Amino acid sequence: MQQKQAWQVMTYAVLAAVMFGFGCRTQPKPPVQLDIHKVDHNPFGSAEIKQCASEMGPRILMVPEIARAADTTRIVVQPLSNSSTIMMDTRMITDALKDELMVVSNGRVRFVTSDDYEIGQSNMIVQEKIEAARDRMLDEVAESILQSPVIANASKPPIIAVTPALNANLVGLNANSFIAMLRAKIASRANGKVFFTAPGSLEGAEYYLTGEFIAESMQREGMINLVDYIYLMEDRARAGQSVDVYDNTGAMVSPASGALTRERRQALQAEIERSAQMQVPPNVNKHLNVMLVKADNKIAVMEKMFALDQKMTRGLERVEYTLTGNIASQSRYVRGSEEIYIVVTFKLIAPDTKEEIWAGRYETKKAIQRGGVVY
Amino acid sequence: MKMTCRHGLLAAFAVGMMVAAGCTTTYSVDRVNTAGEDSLVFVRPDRYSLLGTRSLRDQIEITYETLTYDQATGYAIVRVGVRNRGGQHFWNRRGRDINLSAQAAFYHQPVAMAPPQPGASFPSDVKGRQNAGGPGVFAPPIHQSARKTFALPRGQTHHLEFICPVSNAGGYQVVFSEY
Repeated sequence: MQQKQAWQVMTYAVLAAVMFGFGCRTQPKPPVQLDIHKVDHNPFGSAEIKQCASEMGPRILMVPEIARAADTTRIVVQPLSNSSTIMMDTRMITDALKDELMVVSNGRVRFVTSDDYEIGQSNMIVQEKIEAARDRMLDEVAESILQSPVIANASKPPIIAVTPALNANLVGLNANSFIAMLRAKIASRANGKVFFTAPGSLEGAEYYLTGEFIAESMQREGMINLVDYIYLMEDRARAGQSVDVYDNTGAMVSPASGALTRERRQALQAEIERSAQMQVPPNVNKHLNVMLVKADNKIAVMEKMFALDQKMTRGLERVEYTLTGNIASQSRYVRGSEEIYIVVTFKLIAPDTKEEIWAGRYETKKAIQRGGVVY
Repeated sequence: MKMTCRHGLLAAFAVGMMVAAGCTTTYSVDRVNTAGEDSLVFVRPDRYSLLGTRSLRDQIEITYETLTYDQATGYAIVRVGVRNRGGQHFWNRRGRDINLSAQAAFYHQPVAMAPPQPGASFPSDVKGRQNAGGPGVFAPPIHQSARKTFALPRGQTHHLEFICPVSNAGGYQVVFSEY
């Protein structure tokens, strides 16, 4: 009897151990790789995205305007609007289409990015390249000034006063330091062929080294006549003030003195004060016209213009077409399954004429079994 | 008993030696000669049944197959008509609607025999199968389309179109399967 009970206890213990052992799992099963071309329960899954891109890509390349184009065609892709009941990232569709076109077009089609972050990064790189190029430009300008006939053929070294550039407020650049760097470049290469007055002094100068900033997209305020500007600086210098016309410290220039009338000086001063309030550097192409002006008759005996800054664009100036589209769907629920009809439409639009030069359509319909709790 | 045990062990040892002698680290994969393959092929059925067949040949038929080239771009365009035959046997109480997928691969060289003229269907025998004799597939494709899935109701003809966006496509093969 006792032996029988012992066997029973042992049997139950073994059974319990087996059941306990089956219930324990030390690690989950590894994931199973699925085929991205396989249709799944997703209304618009990887298979549909691949099919859509595979069908639409060659058709875009066969559009007559693109097929017959002599050069590369540039397209900007707008995000697809989603008016369907499916929650999805529409960029997956446009990215798949772009990938397909980039691979099969062999360079005939290029896309211009519309991503703000990518555009910002690109503009940052362009800006750094421009700043690196400015130093080389200063060398060129300095060499041009030294090679100009008035300096190269002068019987004695001319005396030059450096004055701030005109319309610095238009461009948002540090004009004074720029002209000062130019002065240093000239002085380092001059080898005694040129003398400069002390910074801020116009006394004894035969020529003024000055300049005028030019912004391609002009603002209404802030445009001042160069001659008046120079007269203003001379009046200030005679009155013992700094030649920086934006400097409001010190006594006002006497209305009776100087080449400018009282009314003209006041108007200039008011214009300068108003334009000085504009602190935001405009995003335009900017040039600097460096001038060597004769002090007595205010004639520019030498001038050279060079590009200082470049307008940062989104790269849309060469875009020929816009690709856009929409995803729409219609659903019906029948006995626990959803019948969903999905249509993806694409349009290629010419921005100049607003014409839709091509339209494509991908449609699919699926019956998906829905299970579980409906909220 | 001891002799029996010894003989059994010897037999097991002998079997083990024979098996071990046939084990190697790697094995060769079967290679197939695709010469003579058709331009339209389908895969084996998803399962076999005791009665009847689930082969796609029993369920679909090709109404036309043409190969043309786009004038502006030179892209090859393959158009195939696929029709659902419906019930073929007495045990088919109802001809079913089927869901199919098709994928086209384009090659520089022809796969099957060339059609008699551009845009015409390929020549076929009395059973509706294409005349054999093509070189088959022996190089990677220049372009492979994504798998197209479509529903084929009974009696309907689905018109498939595959475009090869790479020029100089000389041949193609379309593979049909269920999904």
